[in-house]
Amino acid sequence: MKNHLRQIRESRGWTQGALADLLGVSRQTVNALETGKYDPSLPLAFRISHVFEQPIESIFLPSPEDLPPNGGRR
Amino acid sequence: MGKAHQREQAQGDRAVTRRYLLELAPGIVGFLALFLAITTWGDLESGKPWNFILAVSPIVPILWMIVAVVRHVRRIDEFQQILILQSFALGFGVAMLTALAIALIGMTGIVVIGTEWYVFILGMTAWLTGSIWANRR
Repeated sequence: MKNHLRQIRESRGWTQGALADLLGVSRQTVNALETGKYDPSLPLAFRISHVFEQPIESIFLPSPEDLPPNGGRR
Repeated sequence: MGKAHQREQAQGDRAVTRRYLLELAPGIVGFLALFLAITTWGDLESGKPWNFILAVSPIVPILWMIVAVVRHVRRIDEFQQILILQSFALGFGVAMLTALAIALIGMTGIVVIGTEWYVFILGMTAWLTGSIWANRR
């Protein structure tokens, strides 16, 4: 899963530590999220969405492998 | 925004680390103090009946340390829980492999004194190494 976390955070002038405190996680976790090393749980994704006041899908983007095997076609 | 500024530690991180160290420290100090005391003054091989209790007394602060670690695991976030789980797995794996290797060597008739310490020391070293590696990720 890809995300725009770093861009959104930097656009607000926040440090990773400041965002970590707002989310109630460690700075290490924020860094892992931004670098794509870790995908958040759904509750954490909702918390991120709430902090940035943006819908989840505008922050997190699915990679091709996150889509269903039929490519998401109905 | 500079990289050093970006990497500024969160206040929550400092609080969690401080609390963990504060809770863990009495266990470490207690274990070292008791271990040093019983090996220096314990006279454990004198055959006295209470020697057994004296010998296992350092386990009490270790139990305290286990409680401190469990409390820490409950406090940290979901990503850190995965990292600490990986370091536990490494420590457990190394301890089990060491115990198995000692048991297999024992089948050959070779007796090495104090082999049980290797299980403890290598397991703890692997856990510590795993923790340091995880924190660098």
